[in-house]
Amino acid sequence: MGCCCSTEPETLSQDGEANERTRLLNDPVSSTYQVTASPSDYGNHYSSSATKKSDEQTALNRILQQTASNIIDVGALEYHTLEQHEYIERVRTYNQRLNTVPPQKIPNRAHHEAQLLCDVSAAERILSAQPISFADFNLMMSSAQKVVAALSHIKVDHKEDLVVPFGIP
Amino acid sequence: MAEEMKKYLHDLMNSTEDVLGIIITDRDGVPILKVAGEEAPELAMRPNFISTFSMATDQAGKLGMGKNHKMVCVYGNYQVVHFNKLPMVVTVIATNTANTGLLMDMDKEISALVSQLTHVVDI
Repeated sequence: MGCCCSTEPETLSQDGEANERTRLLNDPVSSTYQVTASPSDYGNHYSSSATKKSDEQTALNRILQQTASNIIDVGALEYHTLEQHEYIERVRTYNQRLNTVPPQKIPNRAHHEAQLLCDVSAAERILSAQPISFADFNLMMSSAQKVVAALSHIKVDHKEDLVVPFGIP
Repeated sequence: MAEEMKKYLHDLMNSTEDVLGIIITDRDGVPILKVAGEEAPELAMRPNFISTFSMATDQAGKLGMGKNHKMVCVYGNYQVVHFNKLPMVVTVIATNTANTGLLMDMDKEISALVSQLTHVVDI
């Protein structure tokens, strides 16, 4: 079984074939400045780096714009004071456009579903008001019952004939 | 057509108690449609008052809670409810004793009208 720290000398493969000791990653120290650009590679290298730079710049600009749109800076708010002539011109423009609106159905304020008290403008004010006293309620009920009873006793008292002959000779 | 829209707004204003005025403007406060009673405060209908809501709603939308839809401002004598219908802004002015929930519920009826006015304003 192997161990991390072996005292035996390192034996590299003489054939160049991969074995258990072959480096998987390049040596970071020795491989840093080994990129040699041949004259034929200059054009491709330059265009790829320019493309990379422009991509980076685009990404940076996008980040900058996103940050600027998300930042809250109340002190830096620019208040654009409308000049009188600009105000008048805009009002005129809007009026003209309003008059050229194609006739469309104005939404009907009547709702289709059943609504109780929809014609009462301040229903909540009436419903939340103090209720009438119990004495008043009893008075109303008894008075109404008396009225109904009195109405039921109304009858016609027939005393004379309905048809009366005039004394014309 | 403009007259019918004004009539619709007028009916809406009269049917809701304590509402003094309804103004539909662009984001700079320039009025598109306006109905107001005699008791409506004139200062609350000026562009420099209404345009402050446009700035405030933009900034409020960056607080991480989503887009800002409405703002309620209650003063000593009046209350003002702003609706964000950008590129338009709707301002409802009422007395300070008005039912604020009822004012905010006018959103549905106002939205139906505002949807027909989108072409009036340059975005």
